[in-house]
Amino acid sequence: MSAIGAEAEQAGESKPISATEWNVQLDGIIERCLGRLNDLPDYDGLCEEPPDDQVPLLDRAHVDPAGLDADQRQWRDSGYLIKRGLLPEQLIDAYVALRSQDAQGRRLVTPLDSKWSSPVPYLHHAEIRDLCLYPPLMAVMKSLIGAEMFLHLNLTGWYSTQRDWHQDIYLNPAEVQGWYCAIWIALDDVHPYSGPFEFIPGSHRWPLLSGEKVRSYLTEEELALTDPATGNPLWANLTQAVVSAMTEGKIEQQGSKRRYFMGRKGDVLIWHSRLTHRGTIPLINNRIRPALIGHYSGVGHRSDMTQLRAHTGGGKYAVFDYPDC
Amino acid sequence: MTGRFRFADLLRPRVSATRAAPEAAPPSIDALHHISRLWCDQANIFVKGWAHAYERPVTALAIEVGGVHVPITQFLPTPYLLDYFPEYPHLARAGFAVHVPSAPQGPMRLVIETAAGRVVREFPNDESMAARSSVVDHAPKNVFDGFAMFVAAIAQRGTPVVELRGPWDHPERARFLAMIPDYVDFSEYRLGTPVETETPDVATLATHLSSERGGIFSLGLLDRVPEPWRLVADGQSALRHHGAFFHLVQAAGTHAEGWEIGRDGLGRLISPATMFDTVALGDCFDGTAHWVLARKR
Repeated sequence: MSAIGAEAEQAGESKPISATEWNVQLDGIIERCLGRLNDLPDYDGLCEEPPDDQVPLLDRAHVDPAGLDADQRQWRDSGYLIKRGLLPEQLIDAYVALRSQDAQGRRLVTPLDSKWSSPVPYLHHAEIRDLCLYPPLMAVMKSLIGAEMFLHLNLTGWYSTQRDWHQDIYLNPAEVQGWYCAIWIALDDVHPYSGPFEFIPGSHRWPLLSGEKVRSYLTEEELALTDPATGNPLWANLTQAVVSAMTEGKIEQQGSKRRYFMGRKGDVLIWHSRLTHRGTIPLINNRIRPALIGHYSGVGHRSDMTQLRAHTGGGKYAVFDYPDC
Repeated sequence: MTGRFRFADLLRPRVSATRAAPEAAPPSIDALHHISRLWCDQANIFVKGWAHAYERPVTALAIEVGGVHVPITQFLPTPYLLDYFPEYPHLARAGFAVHVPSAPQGPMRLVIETAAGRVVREFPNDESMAARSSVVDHAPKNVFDGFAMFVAAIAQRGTPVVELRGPWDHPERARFLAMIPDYVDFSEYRLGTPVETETPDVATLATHLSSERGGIFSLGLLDRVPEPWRLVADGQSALRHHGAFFHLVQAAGTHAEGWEIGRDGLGRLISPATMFDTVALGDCFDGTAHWVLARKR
């Protein structure tokens, strides 16, 4: 058995491993992996450009600007769009009421309280679908990507993810090729010290960091490593530190501006699958960062997500065999 | 308070101890504030922070406590807000610092006035203060889980960690140390001398720890030094922002040296008052010891 395999085995044996113990073990694995990844080429050396005719229209090299509306021009130029007050307060309040108590009626109001471990809680809760598939929101996404979009992932924590710089597309199958976007819904006014969403406007035009190329530097054992709690692959955790360091270097090299999304209740940020972004570290510990995040792909652009269902209020979502947990 | 639902409402008790402000804010005015310092005694309150109403310039700002209304006449520089709100240059002066000649009775209110209306925000019952003043609800209950969180914090940050040791070592020390990965830059300072005498080691601790540490911990030391509050203060100054602070003390009656520090006392010694956010606090080893995990503000 490989060293990592033995470690993971050990983690699963003797007694149930706590999340914190696992995190400590994972840190050790990451550290050893990073030692090898020091030899990676620079950012541009890990990139590749998809064929122009395979990406959404607004991402292509030549587009007639006269045919674009203001939202589309903003998207093409900057890789993000903020729609102020797009989402109705009653939909937000209904979701917050659901999210803020558990099945026994106990309040879940601290930043570390999590309601769901599932990445797809929308499957079981119409309140989430009502928000994330709100027809005017879906219409905006369709106008930006050029395809009907469907929901397939939620992040429902009220605490910054603190995931460092990355592009979403790098975490997804190569076939997605930009037919993808994500949203950050402000459930309340975002406080600057709560670890707001930070992004680099225009970074969606940087070369596309290739997940395949990055993964080629990992061993088979590392690629096979999964989170014992969720079963999710952990390769991106292993490479995150290197990717974020390279990205930081790229930001400095380009002299790029950074921007925070300081949304107010009802505002929504839509960001491009190639936009470099991160969840910042809260300056005040335990400060709530009131957000609901959703990720979407274009209908017909995911061979791994073919089972879609229509929400009664409009919009589509991917169906998985996942319990309400 | 009537009007728009806010997250702060979730954090209030179900039966609110505070009453609705007589002049409830119109729901249409958005405003944001932060209280960075709140000091009070029986007759005085000092409040420092910033407040703004986004695109709307603030025309007047005041603190109200009970029947006392203190207008804020001078706005202090807050250039750092422009990092977050570059589109509103007027936020470069959104700070305030005010003395209120009043006992801290009842809710304190920050009144933000704009040309379009006013917003009233109560504090310290708001989210930030509530979150800051309480131990995390889902804190680990087990001391080793707590120490694992400490280790995870320092490992993540990759900054040096230091153990402060005294003349006595906790019997489980090796078990704690085994949890620290090899790659962590780990060092230890033995304070060494008995607590009955003056200990120059402690007095010069700040010198020893002059660089920024990612984490500082001790196992059975804090209750055996002559001035535990000084060790806490020196440790605070030696930690980098959000650095981790873990201490285990022997429960009262388990030894005759130094101080008897109970769990609650430990929680007060390392708390927002000494510029730490408490992450977890607990008893361990059949009640013979108490421990605290905190994070530097």
